[in-house]
Amino acid sequence: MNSVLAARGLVKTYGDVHALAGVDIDIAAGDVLAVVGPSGSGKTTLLHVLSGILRADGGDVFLDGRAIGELTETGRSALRRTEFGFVFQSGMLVAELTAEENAALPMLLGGGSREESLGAARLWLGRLGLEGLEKRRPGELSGGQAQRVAIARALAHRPRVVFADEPTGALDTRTGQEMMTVLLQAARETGAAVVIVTHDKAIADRALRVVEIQDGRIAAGVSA
Amino acid sequence: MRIALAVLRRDRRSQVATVLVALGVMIAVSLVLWLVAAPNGLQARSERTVWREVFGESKDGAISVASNWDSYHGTLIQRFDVARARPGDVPVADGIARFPEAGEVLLSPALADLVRSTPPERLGNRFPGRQIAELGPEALKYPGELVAIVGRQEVPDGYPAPDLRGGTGPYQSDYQSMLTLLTRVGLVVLVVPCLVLVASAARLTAAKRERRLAALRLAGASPRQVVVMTAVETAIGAVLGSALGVLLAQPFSHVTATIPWEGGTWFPGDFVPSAAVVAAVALLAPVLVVGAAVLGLRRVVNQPLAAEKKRTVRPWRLLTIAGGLAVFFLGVTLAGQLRGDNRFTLVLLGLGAVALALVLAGPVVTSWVGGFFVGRWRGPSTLLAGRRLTGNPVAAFRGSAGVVVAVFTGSMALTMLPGLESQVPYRDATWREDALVAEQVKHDLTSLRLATSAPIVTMLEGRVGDDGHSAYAIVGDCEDMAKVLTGLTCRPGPAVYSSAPLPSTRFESADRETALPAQYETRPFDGRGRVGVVIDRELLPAVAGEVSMVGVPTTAENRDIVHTALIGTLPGARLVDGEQLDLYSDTLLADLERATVIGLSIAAVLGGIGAAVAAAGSVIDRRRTFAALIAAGTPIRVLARALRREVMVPVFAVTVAACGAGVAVGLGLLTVARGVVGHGEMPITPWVVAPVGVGVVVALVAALACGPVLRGISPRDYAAE
Repeated sequence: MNSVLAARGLVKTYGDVHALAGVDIDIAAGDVLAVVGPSGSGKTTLLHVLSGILRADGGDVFLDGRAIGELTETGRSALRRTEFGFVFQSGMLVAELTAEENAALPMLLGGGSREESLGAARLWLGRLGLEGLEKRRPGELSGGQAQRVAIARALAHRPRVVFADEPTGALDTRTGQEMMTVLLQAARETGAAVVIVTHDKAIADRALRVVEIQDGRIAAGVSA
Repeated sequence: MRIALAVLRRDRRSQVATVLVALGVMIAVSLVLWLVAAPNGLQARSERTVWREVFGESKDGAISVASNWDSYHGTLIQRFDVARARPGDVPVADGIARFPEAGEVLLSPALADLVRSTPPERLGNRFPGRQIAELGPEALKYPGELVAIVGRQEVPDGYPAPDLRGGTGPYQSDYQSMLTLLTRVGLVVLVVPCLVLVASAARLTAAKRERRLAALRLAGASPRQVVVMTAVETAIGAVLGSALGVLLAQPFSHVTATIPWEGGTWFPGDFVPSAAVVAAVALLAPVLVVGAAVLGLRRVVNQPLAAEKKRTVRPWRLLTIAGGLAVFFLGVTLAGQLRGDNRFTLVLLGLGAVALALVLAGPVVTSWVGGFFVGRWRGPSTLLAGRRLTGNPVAAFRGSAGVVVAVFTGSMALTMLPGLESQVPYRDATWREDALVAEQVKHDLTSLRLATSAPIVTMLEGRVGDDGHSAYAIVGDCEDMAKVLTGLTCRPGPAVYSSAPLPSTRFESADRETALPAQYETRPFDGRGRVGVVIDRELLPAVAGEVSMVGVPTTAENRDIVHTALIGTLPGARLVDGEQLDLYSDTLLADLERATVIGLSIAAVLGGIGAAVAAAGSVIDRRRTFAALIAAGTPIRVLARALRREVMVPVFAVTVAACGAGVAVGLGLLTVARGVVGHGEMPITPWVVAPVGVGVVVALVAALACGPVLRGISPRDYAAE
């Protein structure tokens, strides 16, 4: 497999607790990987280490063969801003910004112009069925609409990998499934890989591959 | 209540907020107690010095008293020459051992020390006689005051008085009125930053608490239970802070007692407020804080499910500035027609109205400035700041309200100070700086001539003109008078020296009336003081031998000796050479400047702390959002820049308006002051805009508080609760 993102021997400890105890993963372009496991198993820590939010205590993560553990905090921030997209539970949109401004934010932060960034944001909001809601603030959107804005924000700057941390955790089952459809379809269009952390089996079933984390290790029975 | 206490025990942010609420309330309570105690200090001074207010008490008094200001090397001395008018007991006030008979002296401890350490011909001879005791603190205005009571055989031109106790009750001078006004102004302008500080501290965990309370409401908690929870959470910090504030007020009052006013510091007990006032403030502060917190719960209590809405502010709030200024100027106008404390109350009501209007109108300006940013942003930090300002202008402005009020006060003070300087009525350039002049002289001058070899200029004061229009005139030998009087250039031959034609030839002195000859020469006189006309003695032979003033030109070497000779040999005479008057006015201006600097420094620091706490609170409120942005790669410097703009922009915009209001109010207050002192100009200097710069710098420093809080946010906090 030609990996966009690869992890080798990832170790992360919090005191005596081994959140990650030697994890190897390969993620290819267009791949959809679900990370599942019980609470406290280390799945969110894995997402944080893979995305460069946390630095691994052992092993490393490679983006296109480049070790991101060697980057400075500033370098990893820039990497997250340009190469990665993020979808969080409840959207985590900026409450004061409109939907289009929220979606344009990563591009603006990456140095994009106002016109270019807002244009791309509107395009994505339209693709995700939010036409006409561009000027609304998060408080004026439903939970599902807010998550679509979050997806637009994650994809508008055409990242290589989208990380989604419990993206449907605050949605009902039907809305959650709809949201997954939108996310996966949008990722497919851009060729981005998607890494989803979830405890919802129905959501995990939508992924191309599922890895289960137990006690910081990839458990047996990984689906291909 | 159990839930509230449990939250407080376990949640670190709630603990921090409680500590900050306690600190805010503590500062507010101690400041309010400090300011309300100031009138007590004035009252204490008045009560201790009531024995000095003996004038006009009685036409047939047991004693005769002449009260005069004197000075020694830049320090004022208040002296009382007293003489018994008839035998019998003369009651005296506390702190005065007994009435001094002729040849006996009572000195304050500081003056006694000074006399002991100074050659008698330079100081001690001004108080001839045996010192029978020192004046006790009960008879002194402040520690270190220089006061003398000199017993005389007789006091020419003294006032009759029944005793040395005073009797009409404390007299309130304009000086005291001014401190009363300043403390009340201080109360208005310092309370606002205190309230901002407390409100900002109480808001530190508001977002989180609102979520928790909304969850409790949804879980079945009644509105009353939610209100009680909030009240308990807030009351713990507020009651603690109030108690600490009362404790802090004690050492604070001792520190305050070291701040000079009217020439001296205070006795330690002067600034202790009454128990009733302490109890009222200590009780009211927590009640207000808890009340404000409970009022802030309306949305959670009524609509626990409602999403946070965009909070708009209506433009009518701007009208409150016009309303506030209208109330202020109405108050000023009415105050001009009143006497006593009522006029200050009216002015203060107006001042409070303007301060309140600024706080109400601030969010509108904030919203407009935010709208300007939103329309023109090019980068993310401008967009974030602009949206925050338009999205919740009340919250964005809340933190800067203290700074805005400080700027308002600063501009007001800087408008008033130059005007007051011109209004201080004691500047007198009548006499040459090297001259010593005594008036109310009815004495035989032989003793003076024996005591000093310096030339002695004798003069008679009076008025030239008729009842309707007259000018203050001095009669004497022109060549001699030119040695002590400013602006007088003599030429040979008798003449009248005047800057304007005389209204009539009638001259009236204290004892008699006479007239100038029908024909006399008038020459120009460039007097810069009270004297308008100088008349050569030869033109008024009927009063040629009379003297009511004595002037002596001095040198640096003999000035103290001549001064002492004048005072010592002319008991009851009053020195009017300008030195004492200049000292008095210098003291007054220094006091005003000191009070202004202290008040503004406190207001600026409080405003800055309030803004810093509010800025930090706004970050804590949005911690999860910021964490998500940081996780998604947003550089902290971009967020910090946006937050700085959030704090700075409303401060800058509203402080400009506050500066304008401050100037307007300052001019209004000057009008009142002009009513008090009777004259004065109203100059405006460019310095009135300086507080805007100071306010912006204070806000910038406060905005920097966002940095550490932002850096304390982990990108993983987006999932935290």
